[in-house]
Amino acid sequence: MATATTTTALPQGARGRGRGGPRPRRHPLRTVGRTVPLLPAIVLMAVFLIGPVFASFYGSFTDSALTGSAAQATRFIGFDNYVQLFRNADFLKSVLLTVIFLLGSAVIGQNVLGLALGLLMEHGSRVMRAVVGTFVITSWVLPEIVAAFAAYAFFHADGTLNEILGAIGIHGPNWLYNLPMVAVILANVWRGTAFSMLVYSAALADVPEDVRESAEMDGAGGAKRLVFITLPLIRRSISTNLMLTTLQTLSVFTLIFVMTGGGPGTDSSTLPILAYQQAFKFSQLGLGTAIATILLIVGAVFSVVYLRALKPEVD
Amino acid sequence: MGTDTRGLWYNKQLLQKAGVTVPWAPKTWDDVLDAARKVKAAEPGVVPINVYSGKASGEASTMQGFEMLLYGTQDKLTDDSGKWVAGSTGFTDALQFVQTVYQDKLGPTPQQALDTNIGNIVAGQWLPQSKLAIDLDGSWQSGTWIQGGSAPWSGWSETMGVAPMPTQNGQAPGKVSMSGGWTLAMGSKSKDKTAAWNFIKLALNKDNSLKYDIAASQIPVRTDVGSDPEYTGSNPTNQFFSDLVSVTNFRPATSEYPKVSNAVQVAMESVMTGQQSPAQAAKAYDDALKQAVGADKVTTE
Repeated sequence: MATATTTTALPQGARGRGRGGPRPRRHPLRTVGRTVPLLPAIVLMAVFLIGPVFASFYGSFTDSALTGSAAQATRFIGFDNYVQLFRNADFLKSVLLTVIFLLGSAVIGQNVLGLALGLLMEHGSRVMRAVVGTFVITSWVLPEIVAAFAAYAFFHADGTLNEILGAIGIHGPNWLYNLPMVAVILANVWRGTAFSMLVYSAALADVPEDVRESAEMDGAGGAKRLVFITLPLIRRSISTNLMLTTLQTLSVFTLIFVMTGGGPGTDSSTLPILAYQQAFKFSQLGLGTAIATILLIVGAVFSVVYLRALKPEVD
Repeated sequence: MGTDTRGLWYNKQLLQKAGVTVPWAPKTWDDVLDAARKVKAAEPGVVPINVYSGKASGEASTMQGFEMLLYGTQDKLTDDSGKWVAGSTGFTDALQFVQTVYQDKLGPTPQQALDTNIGNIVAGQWLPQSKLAIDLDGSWQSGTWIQGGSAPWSGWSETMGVAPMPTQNGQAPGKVSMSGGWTLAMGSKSKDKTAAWNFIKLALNKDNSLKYDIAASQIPVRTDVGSDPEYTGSNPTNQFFSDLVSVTNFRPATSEYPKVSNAVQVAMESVMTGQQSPAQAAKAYDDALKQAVGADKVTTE
């Protein structure tokens, strides 16, 4: 395919900026020698990062359990867990809810809002920037459990939001019961936007002034400059930010667990909630890790899409 | 360490105002519902009765709610041989009770009941603020209100009365309860069994058991603690809930129980919200039961 994403696969002329011509061949022993200092880091990575991923992956093919006969003697059961999952309507609903949560709160909510805040703050006064920045970042630095309770109190039937709506004569719905997904998506946008805002503020500061000015000279208006100049130039930041917020959002558990407990029924049970229920409530570790593996795959699919669509490595 | 029982907590003033004789002693499920209907008619701002229900309350729904009903019928979750029972009339009847409470608006709204914090709201707000007349709940409830509890309430023992949960039609033994409890255990592969044993002996000696049972509003398993004046005098409901041990029941102690419990909560939730009739929900439970424990462990009545 022509859209190779690694620089080494590209012809010389297309190499990334800042990289020189072909490197001189090095002595193989020297290369090995230079790798030695990296070993401790590689071992640590393998033990604490890759190890658990493989353990979880293997666990998803067993009937591992916390209690009962399977806890004594765990058996390898092949794809049984996955077959069971894909036959379960609750699981399929959970995948759908996870994707909705992801698109709504991370891809659209946090990214678009974060970018908008970044753009607005670029032109805002210093005082404005400080005030907005403080408010946005406060929600981000709150411990997750505190943020979750704050969101619960905000969206509760007798909570802050409905009090405010009531003051202007609107009888608000019971958000956590009638619109659980809307509530948790808004809560996650509130909680996570600060991160995107910081990333985009930094990226926007790096957009060269001269490029912008010359576009202006050519008669490009605000919207055109954003689409044809700014966005392409901060493409890498968009890609990195999309990936990070996606992975963060996929693993959101506390927020949903505290606000709705995955309910009512299973109406806000995303994959982490379902995995918790299977692994720790029903003690079926094997099934729980199978769900975790699916979560990993969902994250990988989105990451590949971002990489392909935004080509952050290509200049 | 201690055990617990479950029964009906009621607000004496609210029942009196509604024209129910206090001390209240319901003999059948209908007596319970009658009192709730009287409260509903007399006091519009008050929730007549709380029966935990649905997935949000988790095991509280199953044990304080559903099993307190089911074990007062002629049926149980399992038969004497330990097989899980499907298709029992008791199961449908218990769901019918839940449906009546929620669909006749005798209980909290389903929205309130499916709040993940309903347990705290009941103990910390509704009961102390006289917003709830009858509460089917655990013996530990007063632990919230005593000094050092999470919501101290000095007047609780004057306001709150207790009554045993009656059986469905008043059949013998007339009242029903469920019990859980806490123990300390030693692993069979423990490397230092003597130290473990000494720890258990120390933790569960009379003084320490007494302290724990008073602080946690638990029913003691040591008779010397149970008869200790410091224990019986510490809480006016201790005697009442200890006496319920004679009619109490236990949950099936198997590894499948959490899955069955979840199926019970799903059934309760679908009748309380009106999505299914009790018969439909019981049928769905039977299917879920077979899936959870395997069809060979299920017997049909």
